[in-house]
Amino acid sequence: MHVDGDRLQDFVDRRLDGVEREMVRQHIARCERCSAGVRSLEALAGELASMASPVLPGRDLLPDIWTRIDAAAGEERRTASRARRRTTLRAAAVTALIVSSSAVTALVLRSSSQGDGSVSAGQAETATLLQVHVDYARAAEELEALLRERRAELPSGTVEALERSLSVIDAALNEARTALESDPGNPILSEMLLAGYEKRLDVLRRATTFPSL
Amino acid sequence: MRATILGILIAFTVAGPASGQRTIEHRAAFGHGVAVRIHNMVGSVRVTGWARDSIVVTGTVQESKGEPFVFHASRNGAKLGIWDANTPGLGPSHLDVRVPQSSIVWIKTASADVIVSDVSGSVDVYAVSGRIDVSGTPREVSAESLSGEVRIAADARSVRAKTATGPLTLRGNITDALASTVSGDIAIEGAVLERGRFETVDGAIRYAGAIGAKSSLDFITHAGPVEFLVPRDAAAEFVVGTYEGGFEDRFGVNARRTGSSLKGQEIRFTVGSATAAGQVTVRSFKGRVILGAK
Repeated sequence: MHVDGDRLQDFVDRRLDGVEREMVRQHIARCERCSAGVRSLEALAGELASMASPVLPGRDLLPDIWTRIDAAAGEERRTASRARRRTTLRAAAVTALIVSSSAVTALVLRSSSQGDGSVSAGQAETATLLQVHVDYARAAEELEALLRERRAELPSGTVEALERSLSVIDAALNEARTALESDPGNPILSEMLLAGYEKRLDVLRRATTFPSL
Repeated sequence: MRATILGILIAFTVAGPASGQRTIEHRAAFGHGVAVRIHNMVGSVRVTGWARDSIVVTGTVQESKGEPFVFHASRNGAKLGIWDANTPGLGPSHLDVRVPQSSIVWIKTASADVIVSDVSGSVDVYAVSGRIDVSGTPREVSAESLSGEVRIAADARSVRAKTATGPLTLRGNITDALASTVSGDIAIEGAVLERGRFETVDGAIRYAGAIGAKSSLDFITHAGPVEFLVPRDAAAEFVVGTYEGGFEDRFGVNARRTGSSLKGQEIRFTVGSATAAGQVTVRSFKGRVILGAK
């Protein structure tokens, strides 16, 4: 996976907070493609900064113009922009949490299900699944809260497609959970449940970055 | 007089939403292997790679007052498009962009359709309801749309394609492929894949074509049917695990267990020669798994 263009731009513009900035920095250090992207954006930013300044009205007019523009139009846009940025950053942090825990969990599940079949392996699997469920529920709750904040901004068609997808995933998760209750050691059901959790979080994460149009 | 000028300036800057459509044409010298970042929420974006050291954008744009069309380009990179992602009723802009073939292309849209062709650098496209079509020989492709259709017909090192309800089609020679949907159908048609993972919740998955000797392919679905149509001379080892979906053999592999419910039991069988065989793993809760001959 790579860092998307908007986030790389935010990294170059130093608009990422500490945790996310460090995550992106570490990724760039080992990813040739994203590293090249950063170099390109930095070079472009340098050039844009050195471009000739636009012709502005006389100095005596500027403060008044800026004040009135800000008051009339800019503030609303900046507020919306700040809110969206906060949403994006929080979504990224939640995603990082679940991606790391899911990846580890999947490895544990795989190794335990291919192990020697001892009781401890089965217990470890159950405990791991439980932890996955807790991690998932926490991450899903946070992403759902972010989405509720943005729901009114989204077009009705987007909301409809999103809700339809989440409903399909929820139904699948319920079926997998119910089956797992009656057949707790079944590795296929564990895989289905994990896949459902990851899918739901992925859809929620993507939804938090949708534009309002 | 000063008040009049001020009034005109403010009116020009902050008043009302949409303005009219205008035609654009921009061109600039451009380096190889550098990034092009394109935003256009509504309308269409077409990006074509060409064997020149320049970038050209033509088309028609509709701008809101606060967010005019942007074009900044140099030998180190470019950003262009309509950055406005929030003005209700924003009209469609149609952008036709030509870039050096090795460019790194990022495109973000909402409902705008996107077509990218002949770019050999990496391609990232993000849409909400817009369709995405990528062809040629991009090094890497990442394409996401919530409800739009995604079609990739490319020879690429890596392809990541995701939708929720939109259908998804993959073709071409791909080293590492991931295709994921919720309800959208996934079709893999005549592709040559080294590694692949294909996921749906209730969308159908259809794989039609050969399975390479070095291929390792994973399919996972909750309720969608998974259908394989492979040539008679195919060579592959299958591991099929389904809870309630059952396995249907139309190929004639004589797998020992078939039927409507396997309750999590796996079926393992080999098609063709086991010594030069690709690996195929299928996981399904209640999606039916079907193997047929092409």
